[in-house]
Amino acid sequence: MAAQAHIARPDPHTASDKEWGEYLFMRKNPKGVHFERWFHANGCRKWFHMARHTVSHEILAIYGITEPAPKLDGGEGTS
Amino acid sequence: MKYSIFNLLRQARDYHKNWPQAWRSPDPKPEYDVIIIGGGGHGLATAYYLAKEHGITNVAVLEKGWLGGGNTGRNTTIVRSNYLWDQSANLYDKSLQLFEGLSQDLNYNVMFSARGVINLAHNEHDLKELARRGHACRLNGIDYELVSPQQIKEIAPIINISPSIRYPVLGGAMQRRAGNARHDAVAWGYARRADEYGIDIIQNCEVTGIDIADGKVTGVQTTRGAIKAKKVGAVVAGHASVIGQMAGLKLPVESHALQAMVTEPIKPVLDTVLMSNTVHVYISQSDKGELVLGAGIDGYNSYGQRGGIDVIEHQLEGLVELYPIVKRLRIMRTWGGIVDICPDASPIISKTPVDGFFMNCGWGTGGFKATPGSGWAFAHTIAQDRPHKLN
Amino acid sequence: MTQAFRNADGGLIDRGTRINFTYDGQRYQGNAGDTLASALLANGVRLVGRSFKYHRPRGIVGSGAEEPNALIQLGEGALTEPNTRATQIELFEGLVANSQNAWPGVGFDIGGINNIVSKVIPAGFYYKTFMWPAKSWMLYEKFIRGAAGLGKAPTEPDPDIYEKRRVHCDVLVVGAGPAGLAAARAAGASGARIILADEQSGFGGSLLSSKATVDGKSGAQWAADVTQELAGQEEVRLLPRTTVTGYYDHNFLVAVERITDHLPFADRKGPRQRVWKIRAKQVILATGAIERPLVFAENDRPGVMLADAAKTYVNRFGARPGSRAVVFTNNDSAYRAAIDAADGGIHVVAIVDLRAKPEGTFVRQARDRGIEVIANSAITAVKGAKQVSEVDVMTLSDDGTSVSGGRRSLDCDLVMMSGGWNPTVHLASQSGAKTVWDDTLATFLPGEPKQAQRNVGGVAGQFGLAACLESGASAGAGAALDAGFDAQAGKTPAIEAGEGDGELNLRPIWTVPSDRKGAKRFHDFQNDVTAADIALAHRENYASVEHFKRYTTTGMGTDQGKTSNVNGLAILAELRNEPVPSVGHTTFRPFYTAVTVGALAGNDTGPQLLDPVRKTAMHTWHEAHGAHFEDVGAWKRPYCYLREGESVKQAVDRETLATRTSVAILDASTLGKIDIQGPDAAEFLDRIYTNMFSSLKVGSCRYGFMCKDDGMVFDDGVTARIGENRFLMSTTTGGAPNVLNWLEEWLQTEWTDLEVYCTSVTTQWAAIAIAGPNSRRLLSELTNVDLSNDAFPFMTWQDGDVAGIPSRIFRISFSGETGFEVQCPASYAMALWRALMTAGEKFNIMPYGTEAMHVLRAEKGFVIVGQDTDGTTTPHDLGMSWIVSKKKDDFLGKRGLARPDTLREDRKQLVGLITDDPNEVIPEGAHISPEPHAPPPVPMEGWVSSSYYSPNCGRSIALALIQRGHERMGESVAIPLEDKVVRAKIVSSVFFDEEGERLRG
Repeated sequence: MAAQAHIARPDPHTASDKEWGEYLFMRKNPKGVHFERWFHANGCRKWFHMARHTVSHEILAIYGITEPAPKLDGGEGTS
Repeated sequence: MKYSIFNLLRQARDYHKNWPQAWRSPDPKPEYDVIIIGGGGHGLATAYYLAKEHGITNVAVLEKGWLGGGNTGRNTTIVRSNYLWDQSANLYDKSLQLFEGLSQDLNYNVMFSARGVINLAHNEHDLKELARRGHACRLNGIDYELVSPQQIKEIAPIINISPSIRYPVLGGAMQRRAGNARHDAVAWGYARRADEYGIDIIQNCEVTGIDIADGKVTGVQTTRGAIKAKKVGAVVAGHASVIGQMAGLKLPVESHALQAMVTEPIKPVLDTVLMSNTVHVYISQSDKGELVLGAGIDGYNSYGQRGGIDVIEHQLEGLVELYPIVKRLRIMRTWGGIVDICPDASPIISKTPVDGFFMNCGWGTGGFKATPGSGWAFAHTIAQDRPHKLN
Repeated sequence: MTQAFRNADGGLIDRGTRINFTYDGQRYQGNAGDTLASALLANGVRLVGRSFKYHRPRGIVGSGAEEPNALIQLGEGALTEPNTRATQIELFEGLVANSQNAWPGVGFDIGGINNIVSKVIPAGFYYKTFMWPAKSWMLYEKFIRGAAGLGKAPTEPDPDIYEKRRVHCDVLVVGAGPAGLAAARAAGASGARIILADEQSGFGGSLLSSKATVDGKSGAQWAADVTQELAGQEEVRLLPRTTVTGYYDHNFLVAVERITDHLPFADRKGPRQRVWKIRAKQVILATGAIERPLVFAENDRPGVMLADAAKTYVNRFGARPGSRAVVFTNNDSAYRAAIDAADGGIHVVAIVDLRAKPEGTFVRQARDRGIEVIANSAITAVKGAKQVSEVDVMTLSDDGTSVSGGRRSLDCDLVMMSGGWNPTVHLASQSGAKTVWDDTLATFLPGEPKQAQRNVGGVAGQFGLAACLESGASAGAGAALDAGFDAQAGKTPAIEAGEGDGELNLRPIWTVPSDRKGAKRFHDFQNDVTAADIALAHRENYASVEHFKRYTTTGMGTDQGKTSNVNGLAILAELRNEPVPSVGHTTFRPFYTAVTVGALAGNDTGPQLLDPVRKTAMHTWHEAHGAHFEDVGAWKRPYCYLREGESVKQAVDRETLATRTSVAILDASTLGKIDIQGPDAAEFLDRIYTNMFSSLKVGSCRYGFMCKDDGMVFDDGVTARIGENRFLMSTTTGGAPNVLNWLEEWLQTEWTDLEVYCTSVTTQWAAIAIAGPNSRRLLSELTNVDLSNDAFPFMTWQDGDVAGIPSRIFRISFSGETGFEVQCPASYAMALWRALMTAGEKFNIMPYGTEAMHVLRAEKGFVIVGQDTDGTTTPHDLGMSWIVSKKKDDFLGKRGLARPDTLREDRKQLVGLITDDPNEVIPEGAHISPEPHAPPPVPMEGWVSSSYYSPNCGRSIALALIQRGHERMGESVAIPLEDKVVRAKIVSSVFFDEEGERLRG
């Protein structure tokens, strides 16, 4: 299973209801390069990051779960 | 020209050379009262009900490809309304009611077949869920009946109700008014009628931007030029985020591939529709004879309209357990569509922060059955500038 | 029957091995090496089926996967298989085949009436009618459905088994024709891991039906020699009878091997088919090309066949598909077929050529042999209902759109047609490569590859043998190089001059004109779609390629349009007055040829392997003692233990009572157990649970709630502090995997500063709950641990031997009784269980199942996550605000619980309900309404989540989630059922021992 990566959990003490709602429910859904968290469910249970194209499914980068998103050609780096 | 057996016979004399176009292929006008983005079933239905229910006919439906080419033409055609939550149930039931008279309303045979839909229960938890849903449906006036494994076996003799299979059938819930319809015909029938009202259905016209001035929508940019509009409604399953982004909106939806498949055609073996959430098996038989099978969604975002074979394999593993006779049949074709998945699995039909811009999205895996109701409610929302209570 | 149409020699069949088979009840003989199609033709059987819609008589058209007509109901009983192409069925002794979609038979078929009324039922006619009277569609549908469908499904379960293999390779070569063999040879020589797959029984592809020579040998011999050479290489895997049928992302391909389908039933052992899931570094597609029919008047008569198919029957099988052939072509390749047919004993009456001035090597050769070439002409009619008997030929106009002049009739029983060739681009297209239109060949070729993939031979538009061999070898070497091996293309094999000539010199005439008005010109044989249907679709503006396909059903049959798609598109393009490539084509989707459901399901089927059942260490004991099991997650749990003559309800009541009156035990092993260790374990649990765990003392346990970050209850369980830095967490049975993933997710992704390690120990430890007033007395008999309330208070744990088994004893209870849970290594659990049952005899001990547990906990108002919650329920809704820490700075769900939605006052809250009639048990799932008699939609304000008859309370009890429930104590509410309205009073959710004296006692 995969889900959007690099979503910072807002400070629960200062986050507004709207910010908290966005953190919970709003997701980037790009048609193009997507930075994701993946979980090796049937294997080592490791979480890792992947930059992947959502149309071609091409895998552009794999990087550690604590690492920031790399800059990619044609894709934005976000973290 | 009215579609009827008489006209069919009359036209046969002339080798069918005088049938008119089902819809025109007009060039876009510079301006419309309403632009609907998305020429799928929902968009075409919206246009039709804008004209029929609200008298708004200066409307264009913009479709980036061919009409009905998205999920309308890629689903497993199931129509039902036996939902648990009031909001969903009432909208889906409105939809089912519209389906029941749709062929006559559109003068286009959409082949709505009330052959019944049975949801299967495979464990105590499923049974409790079905019971709860059943009570809710009864109170909402939606037909629903709990059926025993033996009753299910009588209705669908190909099912295996042995208690020793991995996911035994402990019972089910049947909605007899439910069934399926010919998906393409729904899009085509709406398109033909909308066209009769003078609505422009413009294919191969991709929207590339939403024009907004002072917080109000003024039109759209397309691959066929800019088109002005007083109101714009977007109903682009799978691509809601892409269009939403053009209007500066963030949406709680993610796009995933949902796959389906058909077997080679065989003589009738199944006269109803069977669904099993636990085993992810959805089965019916098309009028052509193919078994139509729905699989689960792929676990990652995709706009690729194709999925992995593991999802197909997993679906078939459960299928042969429940319907052993299908094991020697062959899967002829698999395909994928892109569905908008919402965290609460509830669709959105609403105004947006942009004045005059409306969104209809988040139908997840349940979009086809909602087509008439969604179009009907979206048309109301756009015409009245406020949501209908069914939304 | 004699094989009257079998040549005395020639071909690759084994004339020494006769094979008996039955077709439509009639016995025939064929030979080893035959397909069913070739054997039928050798026996003079031409009529093999009826078409889908008009039930027109049909014969064999092709010789392979493209066959649209010859669909066979193969085999009988449980082994029957519908819609099998006769052209791909290898003949075996005892084969039983039947024609399908015809009643009473293919010779006379009642459904043929559709042909008579065909004028009224063009493409899409059903969209225009069957609408009167309203809601009558289902009646019409019944008849339509009965007429549709092709073969019949088996009525019994399939006895065969299937399997899958997953493999990696350096180079996958798809197709073992000349190009594929050359590619595999070049790549194989490098030592790379090669897979060579071909759908046919033998390798060689077109070489098997060709008279060409390679390196001075027959094509078939050369193929056999190369195959043998490859078989001797260690890293080469040869997969005959294997169709590569799906091409997915990341060079992942799916192939299906037919292992035993060609064997007599008695010889079939092991799996029937095997799915290969192949991850290839490099892929070479040598998938060849399929000949294209010509679309001319009445071109569907039995006896009208693809020219190359006729050549194949003659050359490879020594079977003559007719005696007198007329060849009808728009290109050179049919001339070679005509010459081979003539060599094979067929009288070639004439070659009718749509081209004005055909010339070229093979044209010359045909003329030299005295075959009449009727150029610039078209077949305008085909006569003969069940077998071609005559064709009419007329002169074609210069623009190819009309015919004129005198009509010349040619007597024949076979028409060999060729409209050119369509490269088998399916896999290339599935891989993401766009097709490109080639004007010279008038067809689509695979475009620029999107993955590590190459196209060679026919699929690349190379129709000359030399080009195939050369491009194959070069691609093979290139692919091996790209995969990291040192490879060379090597020397191209020598072929005779002229053999390498792949020129087609094609003149596309997409719809062949005829003077016969209304004559049907089929482009899709199986689905009965004609050029007129395309015109109708276009006229009605179903003009986009997808609309055309769907409206006319072109290409939607079991052949998936292998012979019909390009013709259909080209005809549509002409109508649209556009070039074919701008019309485009529909997407090629898996599968290339259909795949057996059983093969795709593979081994992962049946009660054991579909989803392995999890059983506890005491499972066999439960089975032996009348357990009635239920599925909970992947586990089998005893729902209750049925005694002789007892109903389920009686058993549950008995177990429920016994627990409160003496002692009973429950197998609680299925609850998830997660060992959590590390210096930050306590801090971690403080963040995960809504309540505090850092304050928990070693030796104690605490019940905890987990919420998602939106504040909704997600899982619950008791967690014990084993050491300063070690906890043992328990979870719900079904939720265990998700909870572990949840913990890992937060540890790995968000709280990377915490040093904590989580391990599932669910199956390491078995757990037995001992409950009831005699539980302490029972357990004391088996352990030295002091179980007194002072020494072992509620919500603590201690290590100790029980019945001599090293165990961990927890003083916890989900029944509300005095109770203990004993955990021991699973391998000892059966002994412990037996010891408890034996020692408990004097207390009349009995085991209890999940349903008694549910009743007991409901009597106490304990919730079950997933039953009394539904993903929209907060701890506050459950009346359990006490479990939500106010002291903690943060925990998952804390901020969510402060959102406006979760603070709404009209939320549904958990309460107890007691019915006015104490014997009335409300059905679970029933809804509560403030206006029970209102017409639908009846307003609903809540629902009943748990409901039982409580033998201990002597009445029914229920838990319900009701809007504002907590402030409505004592209020009477209505539950409208189907036949009545039940009234009940809102009460506390604790029905039994409200003070908890038993629990702590």
